[in-house]
Amino acid sequence: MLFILSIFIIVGVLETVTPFLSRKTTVFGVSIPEPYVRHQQLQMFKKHYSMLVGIIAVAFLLGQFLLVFTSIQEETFVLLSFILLYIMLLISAGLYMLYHIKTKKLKKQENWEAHVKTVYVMDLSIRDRDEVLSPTFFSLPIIITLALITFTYMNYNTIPDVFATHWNAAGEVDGWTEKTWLSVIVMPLILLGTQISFFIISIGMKSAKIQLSAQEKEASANRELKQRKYGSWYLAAINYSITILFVVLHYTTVILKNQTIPYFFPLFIIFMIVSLGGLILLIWKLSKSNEQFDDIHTNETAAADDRYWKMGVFYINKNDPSLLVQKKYGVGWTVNLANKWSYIILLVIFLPILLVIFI
Amino acid sequence: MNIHLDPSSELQLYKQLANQLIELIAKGKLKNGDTLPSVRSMASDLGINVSTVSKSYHELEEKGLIELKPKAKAIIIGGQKKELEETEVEKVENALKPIMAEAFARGLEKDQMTSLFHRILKQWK
Repeated sequence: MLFILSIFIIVGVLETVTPFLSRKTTVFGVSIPEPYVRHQQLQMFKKHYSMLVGIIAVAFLLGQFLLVFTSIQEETFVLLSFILLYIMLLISAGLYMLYHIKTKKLKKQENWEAHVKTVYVMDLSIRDRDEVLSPTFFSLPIIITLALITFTYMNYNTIPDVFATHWNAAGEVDGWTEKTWLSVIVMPLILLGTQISFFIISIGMKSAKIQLSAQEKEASANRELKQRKYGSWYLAAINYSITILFVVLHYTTVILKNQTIPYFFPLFIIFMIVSLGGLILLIWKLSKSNEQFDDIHTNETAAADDRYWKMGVFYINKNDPSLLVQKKYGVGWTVNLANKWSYIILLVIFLPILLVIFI
Repeated sequence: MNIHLDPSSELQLYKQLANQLIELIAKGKLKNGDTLPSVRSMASDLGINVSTVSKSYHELEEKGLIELKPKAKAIIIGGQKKELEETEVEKVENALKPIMAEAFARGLEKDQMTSLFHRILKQWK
């Protein structure tokens, strides 16, 4: 229960502070010309959104606390908590849309674009200072998985005829699979797919656009470099912990003959801590490196790319050769949907989830 | 080493980019042997078309300031001191002449022109 509650708290806090994590020149997915970044109304929008989401999150959390003191069953509690979590996510998505439209309207009404001068800026030396981890780093886990598949086939004869592949929430086996040449490597194959998509993502990260602002070049360069560096570190941490998790899962079910539970569940908790804790660490690091726009000297602004963004969320730009771009709202990366590789990444990311549900 | 392009200027974007790169070479910030970003990443970072950057690079190549290599690499070959051939000096003279003539015709004094000349040269050491 404590675990579920802490997930809820973390998600709630993240949803609440998201408007303040994005770069200052985008508010609710709308590009703001640099001279207007400190506009009163925009600050109000952000505050209102955060207050609303914060209040809802606290109310839901209190509801869950009250549930703990009733004689509710653990399973029902988990189910209810997840339903509340999804309702909260839906509400904040709805609020995002509302403020996205409001911001767009404000920008149009005051005709900001007519009052500024758009320029294209870059720093030739910035790529020399870039510290994104190289794709080689992401190819090592792939080699581990290939070794695991080889190892499995070398020990094929000692694998039992049926092995466990599904567990209920209490940790008891409720699904078995027959041994075939394919079924014994399903787990490593899913892992391999995930690792390959991480590998493609790491290539995409390296070549993704570095967006500088026209008036705070140094600060924006600093933010970009930090985001790229720590973003790729986080990706690597997730990659390596997923690899450990899957290798252990595979080894304990297939090779060690159903001894999964004592090994896998503690590791799974550690995995959750790495991924959520890492995310918080990443966001904390990034929030310290945001641009300030304390003094605006001119009416110049870096070129905006609003027309390539649908609702400030989906990026579709045929002219941009890159696969990944930084999200316009919040922290992280999203794919360029005009790039055919993006669909392969999306497929590989969602495939394991579908397989786990339906197998 | 900032690049700053202004789409509202009467000078075309590819020309502005080429001019700014040439100036960086003249100032010595881009040295012989340095690599420029690939056409793709330059276009992506600036947010302009790939073909615009490519046009600038080709112009620099024609001028003999960079060398375009396979794998989209562009290496600076200008900037080193060497004896210019007679024809090249003549080329510079031909390019410079109309600009100076125009300034003179519009009333700029010869003294002013010389000091202007020195002022610009000073930026490049």
